Amino acid sequence: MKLTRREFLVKGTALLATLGLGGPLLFAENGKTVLSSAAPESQVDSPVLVVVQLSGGNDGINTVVPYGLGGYYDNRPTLRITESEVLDLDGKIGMHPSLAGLHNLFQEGKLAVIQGVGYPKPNRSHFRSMEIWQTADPEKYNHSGWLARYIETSLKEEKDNPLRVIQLGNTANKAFNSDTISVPVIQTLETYSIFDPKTPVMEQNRLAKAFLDMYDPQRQGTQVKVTCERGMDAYESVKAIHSIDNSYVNKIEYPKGGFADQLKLVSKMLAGKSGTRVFYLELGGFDDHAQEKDQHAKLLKQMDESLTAFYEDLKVQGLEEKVATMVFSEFGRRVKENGSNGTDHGTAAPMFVFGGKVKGGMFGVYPSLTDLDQGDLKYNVDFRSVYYSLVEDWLRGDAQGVLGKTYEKLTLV
Amino acid sequence: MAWTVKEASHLLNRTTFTATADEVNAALMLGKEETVRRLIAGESLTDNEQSLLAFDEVKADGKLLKVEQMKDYEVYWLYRMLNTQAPLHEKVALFWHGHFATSKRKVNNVSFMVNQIDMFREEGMGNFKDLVLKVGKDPAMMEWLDANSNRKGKPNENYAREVMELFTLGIGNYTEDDIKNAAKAFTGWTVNNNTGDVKFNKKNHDESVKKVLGEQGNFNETTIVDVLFDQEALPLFMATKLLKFFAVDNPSTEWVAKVGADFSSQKTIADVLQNLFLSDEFYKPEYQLALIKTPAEYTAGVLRTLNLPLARTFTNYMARMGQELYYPPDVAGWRGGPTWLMSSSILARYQFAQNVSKRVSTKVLTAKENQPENKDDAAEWVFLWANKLGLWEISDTSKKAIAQYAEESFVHMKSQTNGLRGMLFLLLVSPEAQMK
Repeated sequence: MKLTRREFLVKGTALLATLGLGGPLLFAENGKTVLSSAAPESQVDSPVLVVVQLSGGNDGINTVVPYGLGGYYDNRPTLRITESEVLDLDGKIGMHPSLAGLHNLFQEGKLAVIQGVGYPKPNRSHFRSMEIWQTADPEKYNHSGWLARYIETSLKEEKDNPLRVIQLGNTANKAFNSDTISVPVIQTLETYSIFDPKTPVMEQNRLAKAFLDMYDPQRQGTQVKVTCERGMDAYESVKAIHSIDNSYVNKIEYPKGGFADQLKLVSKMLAGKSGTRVFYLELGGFDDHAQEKDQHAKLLKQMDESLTAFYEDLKVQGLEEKVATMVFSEFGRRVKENGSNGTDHGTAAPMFVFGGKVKGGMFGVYPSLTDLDQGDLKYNVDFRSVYYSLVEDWLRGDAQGVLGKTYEKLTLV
Repeated sequence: MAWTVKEASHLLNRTTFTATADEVNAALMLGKEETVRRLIAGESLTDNEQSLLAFDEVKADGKLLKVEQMKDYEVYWLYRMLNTQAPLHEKVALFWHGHFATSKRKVNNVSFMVNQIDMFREEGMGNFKDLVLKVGKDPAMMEWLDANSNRKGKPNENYAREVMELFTLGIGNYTEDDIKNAAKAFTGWTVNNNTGDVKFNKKNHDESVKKVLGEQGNFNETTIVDVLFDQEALPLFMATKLLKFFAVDNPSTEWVAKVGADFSSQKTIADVLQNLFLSDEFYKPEYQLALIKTPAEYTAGVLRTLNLPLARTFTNYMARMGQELYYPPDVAGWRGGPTWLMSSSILARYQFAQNVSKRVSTKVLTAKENQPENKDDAAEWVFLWANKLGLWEISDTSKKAIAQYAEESFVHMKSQTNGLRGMLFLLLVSPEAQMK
């Protein structure tokens, strides 16, 4: 039995309540949980998309390296990665030596490398370009995020599951911008709570009742309405998260760092049958204007090891075929390195998509390094084609509803 | 225009870190003009002459703060917000910290960071052009946006881009070529990573003629700023930013135009703010309690009204609420508005409220002045404590919900401290307590 928010408000106080880890959980008089913990079976089995945002503008040219294409060596006198260093993909193009795990996945046919992804009239501002990727609208300032539109058009049945989409980390993200939906943003499970679990149950119930009364948007004035809605959504998601089975212990060793921790949490939530359809994570620090070589190698390694551990973890759980992971950055970097052993903001760059059901291989064509637009690569795959393909073919959602029109599809799954 | 608790508390909410009863009363006595004058001048409203302690005289968790630790400077900034008699100056420093957002993450030099904020504190109410020129030669900013790699023939566009996009004009008001050419104007200036000495190296400066924003000339780091200040976009961009910070999330175009015109004609930020705080528009009912408090405002406000001793954990909570001082998320600064209420951030506020409600001593909780006349009346308890916490405009809905809690948990009981803490917690997590 699931209670709607309204029912919860009305019945909630009459029920004998008790607590979960930090969040109030309702128990009926027979001691069974009133709020079912797991999402319905049909939702648990549905495909899951993990979106990984590389913030700062990842140097695509030194991630998927065109070592055999004319112009690469000359434009990258100090940053170039030589033929003997790259992990080869097709005899002309190879991966950065830090990406051994992803290269393995490519060889197993589980990683799609999409080359030269971008959009018309590229914008070189971090914020605007990221906004373009997050709203999937290069033409105008759009208030609504592409994943918010996915929730609105395609996740109607999952409406009562506050965990249907989750953002990990702690930064605002326009992909979920919406006037009607707020998406839980989780840093760690431990800190995702409202009341101190040590507080006696009776006291928690009284506090919870007062909280719910104060935060009922219907009863408050317009100025504080947004706050009420956000507080209420946070409350609901806390309740939901602490009612999922949290007992899974990751058997794969993840590298250290916040990014790996977040992937670990994704795996834990999937194991606990949260019914989540989209997870969104961020790895920052790619803005290599100076001294790029070591920093970039280190960061790519962190990304590679974390993502590989995540994939192994999914395999252990038999979930690798239910999850596809998409990796993107707001733009690539200029072909010619700058005077400080770094690179400035550029345009088109590769994307990665991997998973047990993903059809691996090379997609698109590597943009020419000599036929440039203001010193930058010309894109040949619109990023909305990738979104479109994944929404329609992988998530089985309403791709046209999300993107406004049709785009040429790639056979990614 | 009326000048009642409503208007006075609104002004103080926007210009200080939560108004105490003494301060609201003082503002009512002084009148609007004098209150605004004192806020701008940094003079105490209550004629309190206590001055601030220096960094190395301040204790947190009973121990003196330590030089060299960024963390302790965060705590010291919080100390200043709690104890200053010039709160608007701290707020203006916070405004510029979000505007010229520079992060310790890359700068990696504590004193550069501290000096930059000191500059904002001292000059943040002055002339905006002077400030932009100073920021261009500020060691923290130069490290942050790669001034050292911007040389003749090898330009690095990082600063040139952000100075237009984020600091003065806003996106859409320049082209990529403008950035490329402006970058040349800034070439030749370097900063010493250790000493912070800023030097001009003539041979690394690009002397060529640059075309920027329709003007042409051999611009240098100063004359290029003149070009920026010739742009009509500048005052409007800055007016929008000031209004978003001090007045409302989505200011009307008319209001932006009005404040923008003021921004062009007035000499200093102080003058612009003074006119804003004296304008009738600022006090419109729909703007009152319409902004979400920043984590700094929420944290400092709670601690001030409860008069709690300083602890390092408070700035950790602030970071989890989404605002770590000296570490803005990126060069665009904190986004503000409803982004402060992402679930993880709003939960951090609730956890902070829980933490501080436990820190209030039993002595304070049961002090005579903190008890209502009619001790059997739950509503009176709520009213008294709401005022004590500076929640001047809390709604009847919230008051009723909390009064019911009070009724059930302590009003008619012998042992009251736990219930009082619960009430305090609820007041601090109330939707109104998140707003200003």
